[in-house]
Amino acid sequence: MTSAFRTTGPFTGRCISILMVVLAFFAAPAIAADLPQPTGRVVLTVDGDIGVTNAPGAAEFDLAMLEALGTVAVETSTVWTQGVIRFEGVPLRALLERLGIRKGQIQAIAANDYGVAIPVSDAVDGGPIIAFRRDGKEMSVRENGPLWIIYPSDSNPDYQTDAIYARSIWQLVRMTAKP
Amino acid sequence: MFGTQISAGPKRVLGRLALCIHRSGLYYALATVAVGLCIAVSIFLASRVAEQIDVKTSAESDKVPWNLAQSEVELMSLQLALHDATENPAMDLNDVRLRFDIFYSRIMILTQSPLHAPLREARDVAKALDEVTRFLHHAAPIVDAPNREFRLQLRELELATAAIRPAVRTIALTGIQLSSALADKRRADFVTTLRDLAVLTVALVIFLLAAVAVLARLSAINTARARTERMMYERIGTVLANTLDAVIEVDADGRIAEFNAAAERIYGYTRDEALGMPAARLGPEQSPPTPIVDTLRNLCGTGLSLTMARHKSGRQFPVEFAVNALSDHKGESYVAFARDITGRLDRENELRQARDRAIAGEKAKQAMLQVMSHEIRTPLNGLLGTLQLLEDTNLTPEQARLAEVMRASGEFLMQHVNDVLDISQIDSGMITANPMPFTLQALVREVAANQTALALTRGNRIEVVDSLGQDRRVNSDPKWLRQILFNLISNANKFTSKGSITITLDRPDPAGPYRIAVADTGIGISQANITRIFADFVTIDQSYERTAGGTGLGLGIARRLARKLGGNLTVESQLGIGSTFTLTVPLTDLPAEPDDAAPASTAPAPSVRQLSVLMAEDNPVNRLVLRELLQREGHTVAEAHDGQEAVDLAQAQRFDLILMDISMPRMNGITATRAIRDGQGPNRATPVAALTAHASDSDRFLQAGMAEVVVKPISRAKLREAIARICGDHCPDDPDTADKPLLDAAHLQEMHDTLPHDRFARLLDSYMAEADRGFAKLAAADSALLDLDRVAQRAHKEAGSAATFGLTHLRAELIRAEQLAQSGDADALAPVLAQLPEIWQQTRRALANWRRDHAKG
Repeated sequence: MTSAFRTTGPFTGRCISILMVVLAFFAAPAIAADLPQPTGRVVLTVDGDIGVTNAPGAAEFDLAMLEALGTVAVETSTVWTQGVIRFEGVPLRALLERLGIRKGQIQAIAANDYGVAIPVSDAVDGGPIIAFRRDGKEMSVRENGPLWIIYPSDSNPDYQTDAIYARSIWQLVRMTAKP
Repeated sequence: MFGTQISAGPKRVLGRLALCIHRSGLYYALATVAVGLCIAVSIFLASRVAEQIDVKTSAESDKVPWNLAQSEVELMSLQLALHDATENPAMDLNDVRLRFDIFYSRIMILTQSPLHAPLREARDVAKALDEVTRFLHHAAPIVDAPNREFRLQLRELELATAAIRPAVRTIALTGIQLSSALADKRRADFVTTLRDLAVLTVALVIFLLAAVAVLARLSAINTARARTERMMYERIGTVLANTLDAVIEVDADGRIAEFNAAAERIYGYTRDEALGMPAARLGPEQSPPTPIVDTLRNLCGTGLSLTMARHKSGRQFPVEFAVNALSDHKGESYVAFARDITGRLDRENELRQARDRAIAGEKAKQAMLQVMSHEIRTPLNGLLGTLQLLEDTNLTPEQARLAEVMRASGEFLMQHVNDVLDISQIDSGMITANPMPFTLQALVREVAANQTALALTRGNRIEVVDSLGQDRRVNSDPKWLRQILFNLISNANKFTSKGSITITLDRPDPAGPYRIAVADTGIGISQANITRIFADFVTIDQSYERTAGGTGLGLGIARRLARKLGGNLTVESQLGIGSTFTLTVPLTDLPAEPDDAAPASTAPAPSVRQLSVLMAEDNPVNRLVLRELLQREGHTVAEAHDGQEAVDLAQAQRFDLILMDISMPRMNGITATRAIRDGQGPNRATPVAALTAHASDSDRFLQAGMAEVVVKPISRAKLREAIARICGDHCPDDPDTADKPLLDAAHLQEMHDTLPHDRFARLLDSYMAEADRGFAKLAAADSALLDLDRVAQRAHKEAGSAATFGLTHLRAELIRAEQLAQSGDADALAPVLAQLPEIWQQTRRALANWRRDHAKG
């Protein structure tokens, strides 16, 4: 953590953010040191260049663990669905920071082996979330669940591009961090 | 350095002047349109392109084919999983379930996503999608069932899955076709847009090129114009800087805004001092001061004005100046052009003074000439008159010869003086032509005849050749014409010896001027001299025998008179052959009247009775000459030495004629004549003849009451002529006394009022008694035995008494008697004396009546 502090030190904004995360860890010292083992079915496996693991070379998450990272809601329409939908999930940023991923890109893989690269720089406040609830209900695979990366494209026109649509991967099962 | 400093000012003035001329809205309008067009086209094109390459639209549409293809892939994955599960009963079914769910989600997207709405509208796709959806609804409960039941139906599901493959295939293919069509359409649109863009771009480029060309042209024009203007500014700037006139610009506050070099010189301020200074300091001091701007505004466009200006030193000087108003963005200002005219006014004054001096000099010369002529003529006249008297006495032949020479010299001198006087009178315009009718031929022959005797003495013959045919009666000034001819003939005679003088009359044009040529066969005139002979005081050939002497004025006078008559005098001559002088003169023709064609020279023979003459003359020589001349004619002469004496004498005694010199001491002739005319004396009606050298003043003399003007020098002939004229008109043999009143009531009244009453009465009684006796005695006398001297004394005494009491008629008769007695004319005296008692009786009655009337009053 101190090294992280050192490398981002000059950027005050970043410092404050990290400080808050650090404070959050102090507030929950039980999970601060290490990632706990998943207790339910594993829905997301993150491997590659990560600083925190709970399995050999990987970090495995069940829904509860993801939810524990802090849930936010995004209301937006998508080009694949009808009407505005309320998605709930964990900010991509929260997940990546929890795993110490700060740069490079994430190769996201779907259940049907669809893959797309997401730059770590996409993970910002108000940015994409890893949604697991749609209109208050967990999503089945038939409903593009259980995990669907949602960019709030209604509130941010910058997300209404071809590249962003490609990154809006559903039926997400794995993420590989690349430097 | 100096030049640039001063040229800046006028340039600025001109710049402001020119500013309003070239302010054209053309450039601005063109530029505005061009820029506006560019902006509009740019916005239009940008929006079009942005629309065409909208990333979102593109992304949404590009996603479709992949989604559809992926559907087929997912179906095949499901089919493979089912097949594996069927073949291998031990295999986990969850993988099958996952494949189903993925396929399911894929189809759900096809049925829900707005991206696929066009696809769903295709009939084949709708049908296929319906079939696939039914399959999913059929399969879902099987997949969701527990493993054991699911496994039982794997086979059936595998078959069902295979069965929908064509439907999924149809969806995918149709979707790809639609996408292609859509892409084609979009591409076509995009091409169209690009083509439009290209067209617009080309149009814009052409427009811009045109605009550039226009601007380049305008720029060239502007550059040329600017160069022309600059040159003009520089040229006019140079002119203004170097002009002799001050050029001053005054702003709306009345302060000097510009000041050129001439202004510096004229007003004494340097430009730096003057700029910003109140312009009023250049004008005259005023109280109360008028605002200079008001003054300038009033003077705008009124042309040149004259005013006083003030130098830096305070000296005031006259300037001529003009003001013009200028208007520009700084407001109104004024440009004044001023010129110092001190020098000009000085020169004008000098010229005026010079002219006045010249005129005064000319007048003085004229006056001097006249006075000198008069002063010379008066003694000369005396000399000639005396000589004439001398010649009438018994002279020895030697004395007579000497007297003759003296007389000839005197007359020659007199002629010179008269010539000079004539010239000065003609030149001063004091004489004018006095036209009257006469016969031309008669006049010419008369002059020729008068000269014939003189001509003979030089062996010359005078001939008159008349080409006119009949006598011509004309109207002109015969005196002048006579003088011209006289001068020409006597001139010809002077320069001709033993030759002939031919006078030719003709008229080349029957309606034109007459021509009188005087040709001689004399010595002629050289070409070198011929142009000079009409000049004054010119005598050609001084060496000629001195009989040809002269003042050299004769021809000058002749030519002057000819021109005054509207004609001219020219000469042609050949040395040694002779000269011909030609007078060309317009004469007014009159109808022929042969009877009064007699020239004036035929004076009637003197047949004048003896007269009593009063002669007023201050010059003793003239007095002597006149007295002698008059007495030889048989007239009695009374002398007065000046005007006052003449008046006194005229009061005391009646005369038949008064000869009155004009210039006399104490009282001049004119004043004296007036006094006699206006007085109550016995000579109120007596004719007065002026004796003068100033013929030109005749009018003045006649106005003063003079009957005749006798121009000095006075000869016997002139005197006879004048007396004949006067007495023909004014001197009847019997003086008319009928109109004389018996009493001068006013005089009597005055005496009556002046004296004490009883004294007046005694005086009158005494006179009447004495007169009764006196006239009774007179009536009884025998005139034949009368002592005329005593009668004269007696009559004189009685006349004085009668005058005292204003007995006018009686007094007149007594004076007449006295004069007759004095002249020794006893025969004439007798009837006058005879009627005196009767006149006294009439007078006595009138006197008695008067006394009775006044005794009552």
